[in-house]
Amino acid sequence: MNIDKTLERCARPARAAWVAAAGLGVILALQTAIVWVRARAERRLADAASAEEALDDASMALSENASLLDLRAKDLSRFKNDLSKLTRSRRALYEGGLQIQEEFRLLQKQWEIMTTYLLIDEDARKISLMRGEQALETYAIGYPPEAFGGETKPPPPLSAIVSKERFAHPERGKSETVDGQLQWEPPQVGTSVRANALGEFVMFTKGSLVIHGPAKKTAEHLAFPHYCIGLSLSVARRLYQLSYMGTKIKIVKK
Amino acid sequence: MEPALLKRAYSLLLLVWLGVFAWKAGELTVWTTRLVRATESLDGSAAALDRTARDNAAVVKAAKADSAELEFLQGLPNLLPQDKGYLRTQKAISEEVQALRHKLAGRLGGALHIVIDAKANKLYLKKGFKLLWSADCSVGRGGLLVDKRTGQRWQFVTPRGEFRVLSKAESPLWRKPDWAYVEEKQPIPPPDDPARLVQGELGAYLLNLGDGYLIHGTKNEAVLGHPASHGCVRLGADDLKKLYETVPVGTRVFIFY
Repeated sequence: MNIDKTLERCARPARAAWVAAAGLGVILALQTAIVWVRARAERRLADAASAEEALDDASMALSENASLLDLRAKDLSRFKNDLSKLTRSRRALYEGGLQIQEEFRLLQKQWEIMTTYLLIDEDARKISLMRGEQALETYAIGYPPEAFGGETKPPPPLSAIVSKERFAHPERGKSETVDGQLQWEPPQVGTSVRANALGEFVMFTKGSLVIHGPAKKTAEHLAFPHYCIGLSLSVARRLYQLSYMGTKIKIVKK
Repeated sequence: MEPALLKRAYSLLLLVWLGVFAWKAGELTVWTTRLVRATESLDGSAAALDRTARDNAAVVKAAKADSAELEFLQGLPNLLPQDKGYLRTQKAISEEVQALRHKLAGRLGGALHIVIDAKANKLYLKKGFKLLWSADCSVGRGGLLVDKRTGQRWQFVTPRGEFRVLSKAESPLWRKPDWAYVEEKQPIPPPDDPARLVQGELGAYLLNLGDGYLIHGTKNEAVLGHPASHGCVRLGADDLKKLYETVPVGTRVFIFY
């Protein structure tokens, strides 16, 4: 390109104005672009600075939270260790308490069984449920130990309950062999002397004394060999409920 | 104006314009570069901020979870008694136990004995005051059975009181009593009918307490710990073997409710 010729062409008055305007336009466009880009760049820089600041704050917060989390985790771990020991200790305490209560119950019941006895006062015509020296309950008896059914051996002053029957059983019954086969008639309560004589709440002792409720049939009571104290049904029931197998029976008279 | 002078003036103006253009173009380049860098920095910071925020949220969530767990665990020990009143009560019971031990020492000595808590359905083997072992057992289930044909009535209760082991037996035969036939709604055979003898019903061993009451085994160990028998005391096979091998004839047995 020939610059001289170009300058000449541009210098022509008709074109000079256009060239100058174009040149100025380019410069103005550049300036406008600069202003626009600069404004955006400054805004971005300000945003970036803010973001950086926010990031610093967030990082600091994260660091603090992480430290707190670490402390909390250590607390939790320590607490779990202590909790294990504490729980073991409390469990031992609790189980120890249960064992004591269990032993207390066993010993107390054994003590009750060993120290409970029946005291028959012939003169006062009373029977008492005793524990040690204390009469827990006292009831009237029909008569002092009296022989029935031809019983000749009087009860000893000290005996004990050896068997209890809520309902007096009938006699066992015997079987017979008929034509090589065992045959028998099961005992019938209605016709049993034993069952009719002793009735309910029956307590057999080592001796001849049998403590029981009213007989079902008086004639059979008279015929059944034993010593009796003539208890009412309610007293017999009470003594049956409160006495034990092995409960001692003391008979006293002046 | 002379053409040469004009040409110089144009050249000078062109140079000036080019200078201004170059200056402005340079300025634009600088700001454009700054804009690009600022944008990249902002994007980076935004991404980092997002990551940090997520991490922070995770840390806070973990801390909350730890707090909740700690709170839960702190609540756990409260299931057990904490107040000193519990200890005082235990101490009082302990003193009563000591007093009872003192009273019973002369009566029990250091002898081996069996204690059966018929309410709790538990059997204890003790030597003096020392508990050797305990086991679940089954005692009488209660209830009444009436035989309409003979009028007989049976109450299936384990009696309370003091017993002794009168005898022991291995592989015992069960002489089926009348009530067993009544319960099964079968005719009652004669007392000495060999058909009454049943093998295996009582387990491998029995301890006879007298008056028809036994400690024996069971075919249904699942109900041990509950009242289920007709008055005898049922034990599991292993415990029964242990008891049979440990206690001699004459051992005292206490049964209570």
